[in-house]
Amino acid sequence: MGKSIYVIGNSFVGALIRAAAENPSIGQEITVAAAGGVNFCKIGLENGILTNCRIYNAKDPLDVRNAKAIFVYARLPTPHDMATSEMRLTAQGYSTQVIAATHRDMVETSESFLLYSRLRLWTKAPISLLSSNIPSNSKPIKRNAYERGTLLIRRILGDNYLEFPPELFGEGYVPRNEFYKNSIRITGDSVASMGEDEFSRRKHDITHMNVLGGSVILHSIIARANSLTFVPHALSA
Amino acid sequence: MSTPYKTLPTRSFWKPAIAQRSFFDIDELWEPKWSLLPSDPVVTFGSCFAQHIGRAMVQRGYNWLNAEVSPSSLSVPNAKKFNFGVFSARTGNIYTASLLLQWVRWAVYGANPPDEVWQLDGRYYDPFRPTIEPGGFASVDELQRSRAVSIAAFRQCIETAKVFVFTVGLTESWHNQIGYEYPLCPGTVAGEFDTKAHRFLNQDYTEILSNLETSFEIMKTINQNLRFILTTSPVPLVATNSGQHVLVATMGSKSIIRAVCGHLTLTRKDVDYFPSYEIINSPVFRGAFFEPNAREVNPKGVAFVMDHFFSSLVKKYGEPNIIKPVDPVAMLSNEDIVCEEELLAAFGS
Repeated sequence: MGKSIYVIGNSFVGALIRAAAENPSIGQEITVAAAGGVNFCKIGLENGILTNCRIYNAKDPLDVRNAKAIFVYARLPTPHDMATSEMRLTAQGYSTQVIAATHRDMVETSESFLLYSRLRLWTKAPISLLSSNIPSNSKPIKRNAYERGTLLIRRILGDNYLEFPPELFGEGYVPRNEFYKNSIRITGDSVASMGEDEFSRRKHDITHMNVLGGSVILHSIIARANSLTFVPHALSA
Repeated sequence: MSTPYKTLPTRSFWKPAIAQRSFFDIDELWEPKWSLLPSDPVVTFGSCFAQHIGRAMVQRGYNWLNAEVSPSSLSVPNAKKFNFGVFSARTGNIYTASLLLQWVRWAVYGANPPDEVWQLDGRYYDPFRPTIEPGGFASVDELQRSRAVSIAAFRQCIETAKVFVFTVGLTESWHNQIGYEYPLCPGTVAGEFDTKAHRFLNQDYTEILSNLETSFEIMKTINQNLRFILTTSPVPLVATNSGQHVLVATMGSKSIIRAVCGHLTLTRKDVDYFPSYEIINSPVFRGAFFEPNAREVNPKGVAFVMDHFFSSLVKKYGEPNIIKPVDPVAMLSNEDIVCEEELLAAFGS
């Protein structure tokens, strides 16, 4: 398999890039396109080629029509967000229809989904979306709440949703600290200024994972990609 | 020879006030009884046309109170779809004075609405807000909880507002055996019409006057400083069950409503009347403010009416100091006006 798995993300992918570099046997299968923070929503598609983002692990511009599979790993509601929202809105007396519409809007206005919608115009390749990293200081939630939150996202995204691997979590679906200690992220808001120095190591960052966490995500992405059916080519422009 | 007419202002005479002007230059149609500061909380309820008043207030930075907000993550189109931001609480259209009184009693006295629920295709519809939830509620419990939220929000409007704007739209109404009133005839959206259980009432002057005065008095028990601006909806009836021609029934209903509003304005210091009905319907304006179906008010008409509302305030009390940010849900276009009564048109085709 060549470098035909594309991961497009925001600062979350810093850990993934570092993990890929440290796991060359599988890391070489993926190419990462990233734009941190507010720049993520500026990622463009010109004739199927990604623009306004930094490409890692590839020299040529990325044409999404050549992808075997695409993964979007940026801002998307988490199961925790959905479960919490459902409990809060139900308590406030909103109907199930209003709550469902709210959740659909939460997902469909997320930066990950908006990019997904644009990618869909250019490629038939399977596109999977990952939730935002769950902050490591999240309050514990019950298993049925987590499953309910996941179900709510699945209702909207179907099989396009790639859940976080369960090993990321400790009790109460709180992310394990071992995956967040010495976290890595992409810094700098200018694509042009990005280089190797953009990886900043922090003692603790509640929303970014470390190499270990990045490795767990990486394996999850590879496993999903290998389970997908390859669609040979894309829609024309 | 002395005569009172000698000292009257220009606006008191047809020729200089109307005949010698382009109708776009006609002004001084309303002299507000009191000032309305942009910071004064205003709530709007009533017939379809009341929605324009709330929306215009938001657009001009006035403090239109939305007591039943949509979830913050719900998009503006979906908020509109579920009738958030249409009126100050999610009551749906309150077409008649008696329907207003019913809501006031629920909100102020804590009276329980009846248990009646309409069913259609496994979904549940609120007989008192039949179109509030497109597709109905999932369960009776959900319906009742939602209505309780709206009643609480309606009470909050009464408690908090400085001005309660109410547009009276209809005299014709439908009631059940124990006297509760529906905003729409059973069977039009959901439910089943039963000749034994449901009765038609075309309310007369005395009933409307009594219902409005009672509503005001009950509201003032929890907000003694509350003031009221009444308007008569300029929108003709979609259909009439009176036996009369719909045009005759329309003119009859509007005339009765207008007369009641006039009486209340003359007799109560806390009631004012804004002449939106007159502006839209007067032959002076040659029907220019109606859509081709001669029923729906066009955007120019709405703008003309609302310009008069605000310019009259400015003329009497000066330019306001606007600081309030705009609520996007209340910024929807005229096409988004919600009028349940329109559903009756389907029965006339």
